[in-house]
Amino acid sequence: MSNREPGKTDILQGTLDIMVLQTLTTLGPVHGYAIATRLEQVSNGAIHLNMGTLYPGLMRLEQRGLVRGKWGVTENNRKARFYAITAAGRRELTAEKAEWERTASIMHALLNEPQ
Amino acid sequence: MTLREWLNRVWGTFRRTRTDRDLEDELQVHLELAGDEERRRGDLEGGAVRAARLRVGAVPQAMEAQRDQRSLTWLEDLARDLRFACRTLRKAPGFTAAAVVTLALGIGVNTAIFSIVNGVLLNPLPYSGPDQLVALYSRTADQRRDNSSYPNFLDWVRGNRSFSDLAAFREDGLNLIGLGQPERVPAEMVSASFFRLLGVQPILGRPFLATDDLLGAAPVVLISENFWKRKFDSSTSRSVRR
Repeated sequence: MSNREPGKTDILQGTLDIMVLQTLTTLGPVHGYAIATRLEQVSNGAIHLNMGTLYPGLMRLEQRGLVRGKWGVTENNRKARFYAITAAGRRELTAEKAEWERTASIMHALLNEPQ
Repeated sequence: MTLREWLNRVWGTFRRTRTDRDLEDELQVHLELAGDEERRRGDLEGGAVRAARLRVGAVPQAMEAQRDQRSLTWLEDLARDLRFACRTLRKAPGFTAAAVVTLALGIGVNTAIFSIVNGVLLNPLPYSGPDQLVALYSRTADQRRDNSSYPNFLDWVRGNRSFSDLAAFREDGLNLIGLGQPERVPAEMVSASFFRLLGVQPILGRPFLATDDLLGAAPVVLISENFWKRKFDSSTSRSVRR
């Protein structure tokens, strides 16, 4: 894509799911904004999710039964929709993680081949 | 797309799993939280809202993306088109009737033609070895397909080396009297080999024998089951004479 903003990493296709599931495992049930903030912090600002990417992604995870969303109240007494990972979501994360690590180690071995 | 996601989206197409209002509320919360953060960073009120919107994206676009994910857009469009078509048809009963009649006629004619093609061309004849049945004709100088004389047929039978059997038939019509109302009966004059060749057995009585073909033999007739029921009342007695 030629018109992407400089310095922003495009979300690799398929990585949003695993990132969201991992975040929910780490933080417990949180709302969408907290997920986006967390990903931005962990990636030192490299990952920036706008609403049009994040919420359809969450909806897809919900439709697949990997997360469950429920309206609740934040510590600042604000209504927000909280997402929690389900048992199926945890299984999916474990499988995806293993797959991701396998791919990464293959790439690592390949790219660090002695010249 | 997993099956579960797909089913969810089909469901979401017809029953709103989450209302537009619900989706928009969630986006508004996101926007407000982003605004809070901008304010904490020391932005002015107006600037904070703008900065937040720039950072997290606009609500309408996000709404559109969520709607696309919520349901199967093409299915939703299809359902909407169908509803629109039904409404339009209801509003124009004359046009609807014409369209329905046209379709009904078209389907009816097609079905009829297929029935004929199926019976005549596709289904095999109800005789033994239907794929081996052939019709033989004589050919003359001015006729591609001419009838043959009975003596010629006998010559064919004598010289036959190609076919397992040969039979002759001639279409005829007979006048029937003495059995209630006189009537014209369609008939076929056939050689004794006819039913043997087709592998057809009479329900009652005997098939034609080679001796029936001899000159001076007593005439033999085989009637259809329908004729037997209609004219002889399905009687098995042989009292009826010609």
